[in-house]
Amino acid sequence: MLSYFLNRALAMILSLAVASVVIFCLIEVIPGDPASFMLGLNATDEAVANLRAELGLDGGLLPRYLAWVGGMVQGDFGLSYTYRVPVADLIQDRLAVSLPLAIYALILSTALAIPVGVLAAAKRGAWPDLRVMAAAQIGIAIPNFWFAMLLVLLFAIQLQWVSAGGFAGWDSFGAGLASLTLPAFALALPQAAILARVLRSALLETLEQDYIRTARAKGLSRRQTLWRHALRNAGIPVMTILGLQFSFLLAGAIIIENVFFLPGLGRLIFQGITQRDLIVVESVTMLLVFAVILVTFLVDLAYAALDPRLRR
Amino acid sequence: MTASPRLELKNLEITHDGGALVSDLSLTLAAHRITALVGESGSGKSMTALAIVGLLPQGCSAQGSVLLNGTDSLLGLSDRKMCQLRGRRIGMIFQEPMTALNPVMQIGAQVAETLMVHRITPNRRAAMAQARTVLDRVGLAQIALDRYPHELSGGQRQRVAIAAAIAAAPDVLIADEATTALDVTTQQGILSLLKTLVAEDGMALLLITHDLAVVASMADEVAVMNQGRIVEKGETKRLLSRPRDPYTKALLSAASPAPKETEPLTGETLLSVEGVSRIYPPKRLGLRKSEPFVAVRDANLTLRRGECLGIVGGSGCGKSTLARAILGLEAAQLGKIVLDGTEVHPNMPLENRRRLSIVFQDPYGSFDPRWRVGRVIAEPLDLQNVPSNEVTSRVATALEQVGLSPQDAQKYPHQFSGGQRQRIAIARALITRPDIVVLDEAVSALDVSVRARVLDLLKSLQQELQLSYIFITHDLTVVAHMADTIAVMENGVIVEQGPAPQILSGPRHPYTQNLLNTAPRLDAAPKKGTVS
Amino acid sequence: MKVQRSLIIGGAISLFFLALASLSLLWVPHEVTSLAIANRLQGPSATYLLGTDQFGRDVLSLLMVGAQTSIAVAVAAIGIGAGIGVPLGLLAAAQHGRFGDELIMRGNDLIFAFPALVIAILITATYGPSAFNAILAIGIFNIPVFARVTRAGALPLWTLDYILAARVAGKSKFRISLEHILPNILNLIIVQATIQFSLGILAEAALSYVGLGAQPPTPSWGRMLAEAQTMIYTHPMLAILPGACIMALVLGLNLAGDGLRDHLDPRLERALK
Repeated sequence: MLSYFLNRALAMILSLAVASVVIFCLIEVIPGDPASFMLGLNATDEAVANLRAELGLDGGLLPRYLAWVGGMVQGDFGLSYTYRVPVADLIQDRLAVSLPLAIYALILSTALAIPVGVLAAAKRGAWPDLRVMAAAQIGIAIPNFWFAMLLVLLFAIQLQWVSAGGFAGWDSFGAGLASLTLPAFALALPQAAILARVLRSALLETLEQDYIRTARAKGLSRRQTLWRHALRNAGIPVMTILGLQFSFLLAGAIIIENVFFLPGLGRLIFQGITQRDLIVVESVTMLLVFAVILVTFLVDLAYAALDPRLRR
Repeated sequence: MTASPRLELKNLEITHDGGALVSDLSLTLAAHRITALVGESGSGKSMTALAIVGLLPQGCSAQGSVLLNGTDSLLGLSDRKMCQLRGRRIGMIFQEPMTALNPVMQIGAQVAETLMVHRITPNRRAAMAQARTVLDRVGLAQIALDRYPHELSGGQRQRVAIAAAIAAAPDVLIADEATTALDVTTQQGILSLLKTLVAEDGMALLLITHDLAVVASMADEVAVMNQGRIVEKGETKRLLSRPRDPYTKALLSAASPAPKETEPLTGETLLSVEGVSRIYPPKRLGLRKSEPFVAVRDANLTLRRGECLGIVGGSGCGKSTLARAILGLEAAQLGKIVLDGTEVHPNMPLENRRRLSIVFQDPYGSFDPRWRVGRVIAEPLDLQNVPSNEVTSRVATALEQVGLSPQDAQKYPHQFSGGQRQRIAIARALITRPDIVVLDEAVSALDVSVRARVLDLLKSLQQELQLSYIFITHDLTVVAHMADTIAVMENGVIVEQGPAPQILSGPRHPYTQNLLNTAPRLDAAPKKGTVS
Repeated sequence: MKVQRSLIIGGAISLFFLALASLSLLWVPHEVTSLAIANRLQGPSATYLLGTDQFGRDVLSLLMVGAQTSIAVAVAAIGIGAGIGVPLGLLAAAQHGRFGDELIMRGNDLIFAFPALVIAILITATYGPSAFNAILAIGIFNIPVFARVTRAGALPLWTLDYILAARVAGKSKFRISLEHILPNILNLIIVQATIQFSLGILAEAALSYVGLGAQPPTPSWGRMLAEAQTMIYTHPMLAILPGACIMALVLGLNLAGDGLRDHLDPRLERALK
């Protein structure tokens, strides 16, 4: 078990290292001179030179890269060009919105998908299954930001149950949660549809295995067989999808924030792009990639917990 | 004293989509007795078993009567009521031990589950304790309760399945081809275990099998099935020595082919394997390295023209690995293989490749399902620079040689039966006009009657085309029927080799002796309960 | 073979949009590149079948050309993904257990760590937003998807006897991959392509919505949604119509994909995860 853990941890660190090199190269190396890029076409040579010195762009590639990585590991993401404040502070503020949103959506989608997926598999071919599958088809096809707009139209404008956007802050936990509910729901529904379908097909496949027949021959009812034998084995492919889902959720969250005017990572990065604040873009991208790689690592650990065959 | 009937089947009929799978089947199972249900694939024996426990696949329905202990009629009971009987009154074990157990559940829990589902024990702790007792009884005293199935061998997994099936002391136990997937020595262990359980617990055992030798060594009574009907039934000794029904007679003669009359071999030596060892490199397991695995150690063989060399051994003994080295698919780490003067290795020239070919075990995975039969057979010629009109004529010849027609070249493999597919595989093996054909369990997956015909074909081809065979098998009757010389392998080592009659009648190595003793034989009287 | 109902329905919907997009290459009811503020925000009429938007452009024409944009981007992205991913997957399966396989799989995992959106952000931050960059971002993300599916489908085939027979005859792994492996996994790849097609439509819409896709004046469904957002209180139809088109096309493609899979091989359902 230990060697498996170390193996996966090593893979994670390696992935992070390579990802950081890719991001670094793409942003700092390829377009030529980041400083003149940031200042635009009308900048004077002197302004560019000053910025270069300020940003530490005068060193060679390798020292700059190492400095950047070294800084990140210590929590120093550099100074935002636009706002002149540590990027770490900016990220922290925005993360307080984006992270809870993503987690909220993950919980919602899982809570929705599991009972639905199990029901569909248990009643395969019958009405509950067909209805669930039809609903799932629609759920998958809806763009989540459009769904968000429709939700706003219905709940905020027509029914006036919630405000149409904006974030109430975490001073009151309830108010903060309320302002994240509609966005989380918009995010969660398409993901729940995908998850339900995957769970259903994983269960159906598991139900065809020989050990299910053995369980039935021992006297277990169909229901007992499903819950005690099929579900745990189906959990393994479902874990894979959950891991992938997280990265989609993160990307989705960033886009959804636009619909609801939430001050999250999305706003930060898009402003960074328009304002050519490459330091912000670099750091937030690295953070997003880190989140995805971390989740992959956790999923790998979850595999080992679920499947004893991996625990050599 | 007449044994009380535990299970009675009367005029059982199983239909699927209107077609009858089983008709008019009547059978009685008595306590303390082993009844065998014998037939080839498709005869309906497995369907009968599934009908008894109410687990027929969707679309099938059963009529007639199935009486348990004289009173309860099983057909027509709701699934809920059947759940109470399954595992409690009727236990069942299946063919594939490797997939019969839940891979993520500990074996103790899987055995205890039977007890808990039927509320035989008051709590989980008592159930686990009883599971321990049952597992000890089936010969797994050394295996801890918290082991997972993947840590056990096939034979051990089957024992766990048996434990789970008998934990509640059922009246009837059904074993559906329970030892077919196991090798000979393991099979022997499982069969004697079953015999012991029947003797001690008084269960009625329904033994479903296609193997008449197993029937001979195990069953008190036997019923022979063909195409959904029982054609003959009776006491084992009588039925096997004086069969009445023509189908039974045909089955018996196909199951006991005569040993080969060998003549001294005069041909020149075609192939020589000298000191060959095949070692798999150590694998990187995370941060540690495993040991290098020696699959074949210091093998020495010779093969003459026209000779049939049989290679026998249990699973994992290295016979397939040795075959792959002989075919030039994998390189030997030590020693060398010489075919008529030139060396055999993975990079050998194509003109030498054409002298070797192979026929596989599984008639269903042997061909690309998208290719027509003609293209399949001609594939080995793709690399031999043969002009296309010659290819067509060679394919036609090959098809005729194996007893099929040249028109069959236009069809697809799935349009043929298992036996016919093996013939196509043989045709593919012959197309390059090889000197040596490796037959890797080539008849093991065929029904007994089909097998006899394919073996006859192989024999006549050998005569006609002066072929040499390397016949890999685990079945000693087949090897006795086909081979001139035999090599016995255990754990990668050839422990004994020599002329076939000599090995079969007077083996010297203890492994060979054990192999010959444990293999069930058709002419053996049912042994009195031997404990494994 | 009975043709699945989902294939028929899904196929019909998809072909409808395809036809619409193709038509728009030749003709649209009104020019979409020029603004005509005078005609802004009109309801449906004989001249403007679905009305006009806040810039006076004909909504129907916008939707038609938008279909063109979405489909073109999604198809090009599949081209990149399959064109590079499938050979990689075949190579990985052929080299299973050796360094080549490991390398390709690690590379795959690495790309998976960058959601398509993040790749798009990176590219557009440095090169500026455009439809081409959207194609690149979605396409790059498609590569590991196709590589993984190809490899998963190819691996079990390598252990089959007929592959071994071909190797005994002396066939190279390359020839075996082309003559045996690829034809037998083609169905898998086609079905995956329809899935990636629908995902590509969604991804293109998302990217255009945040301004990282096709730039004005090229119409795009996603950007129509972004522009309609401010009008949602007064003219909700401007937001509903483009979204409905996205949903309809994606639904049609998914249905067609499912139907195709069941039609081609009922056992395929297990191979696809």
